[in-house]
Amino acid sequence: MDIASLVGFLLGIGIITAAIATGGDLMLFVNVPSLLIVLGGTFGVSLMRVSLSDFLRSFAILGKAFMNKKVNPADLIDEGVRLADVARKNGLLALEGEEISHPFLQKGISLCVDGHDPAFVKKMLQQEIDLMVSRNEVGQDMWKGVGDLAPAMGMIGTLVGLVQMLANMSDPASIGPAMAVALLTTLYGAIVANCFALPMVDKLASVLVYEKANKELILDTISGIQEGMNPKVLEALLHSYISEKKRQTDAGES
Amino acid sequence: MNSEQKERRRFFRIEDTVNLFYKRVDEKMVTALSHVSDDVLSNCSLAAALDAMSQEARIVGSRLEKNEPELFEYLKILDSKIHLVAQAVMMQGNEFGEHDSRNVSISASGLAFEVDEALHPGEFLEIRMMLTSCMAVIVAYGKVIHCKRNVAGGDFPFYVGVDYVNMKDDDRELLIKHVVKKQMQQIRESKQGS
Repeated sequence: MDIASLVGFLLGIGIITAAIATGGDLMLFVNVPSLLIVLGGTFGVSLMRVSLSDFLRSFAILGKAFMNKKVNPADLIDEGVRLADVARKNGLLALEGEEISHPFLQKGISLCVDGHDPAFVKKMLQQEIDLMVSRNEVGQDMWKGVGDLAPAMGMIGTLVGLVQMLANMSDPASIGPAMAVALLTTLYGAIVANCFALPMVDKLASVLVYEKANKELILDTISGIQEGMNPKVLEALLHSYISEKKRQTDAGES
Repeated sequence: MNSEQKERRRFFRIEDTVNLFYKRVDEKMVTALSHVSDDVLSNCSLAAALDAMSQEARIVGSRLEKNEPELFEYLKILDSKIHLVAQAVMMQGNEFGEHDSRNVSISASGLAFEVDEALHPGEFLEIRMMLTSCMAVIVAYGKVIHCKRNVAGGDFPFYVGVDYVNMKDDDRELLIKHVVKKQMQQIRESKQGS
């Protein structure tokens, strides 16, 4: 669970709601037709931009912004070095009985145990990484589109409201409330884009970078195991995936 | 289990057929100095030295691959060329023939192989073997641990078990890599067979 995403989202919406509540009636800011124009319009038009499967998948990908489990690369390195040591001392088949925490590492080890050619294993795992990246990028594009479209839909909603207001100018008393309702769609559009969609795109991008780096680390680990690489050399090789600062901190702790 | 047995089981063993020949040597020769020439240009050291350098290069290479992929590809081609030239040099210089191949049980800490004469435990041997996975010749000294009748039959009536003595780290690395690669190949073949 990514606490930062959930807390950030609730905090953003909460502060806006609290600010509105302190200034007057909260229900003034609730208008169903405006919500329908912004949400319905945004998702409807988004569906025009991508295929239905990509549209549906983007909701699953959104889950990664809230439910991603960050795996520490240092833990992956320790695990990879341990497995390399097992393979050298007890053979590749001994890896079958080892407890492996990461599903992608588990998959790579299964391919090793099956005796597949190192070039084939590398190609297969690299392909999986590339597909993961492209799937996530499609999801990010979709939510970036939502971030672009929501304010535009808000503007359209406001224009619709203004047209309706101007058509009923005979009652001057109704102009103020009608104008307020018209402006609500702009507010909704801005909230959807800036409090949800665009921050989610940034979060998904950072999750993807992290996940991709971890999977590439695993790919190098599997190649090292298949080569029978010395665990110390493998560790030095994999340490390039950890930032210099983090390496120094770890060295200081040990 | 005594420490000697533990030592012998430090590394995984595989059954293999390799080109190998041996000769008896004096204990003093084994313990006096490093049995393998440190001269990198000797055939025996060349493969191990190249392998050690390749490992060093891989650490830099992984960073280079991300920043300069084209340059990395070019360097990889150069590296392959160097290895091909080295293999050609090593093949010219080795004295192995087809008739030297024997069934062995090989690991990075010891070796068991077929012989045509009885050897006594405690005797020291100089062993030359060619690792086909990397076309490298390893020269190692070993101490005979046991010598038994070869139950598999064939041209060699005895089966001798040897522990390496004073083996260089680079050579041990080559042996480990050979064992891992060979095991991978054997698993693949057995799966294809079934």
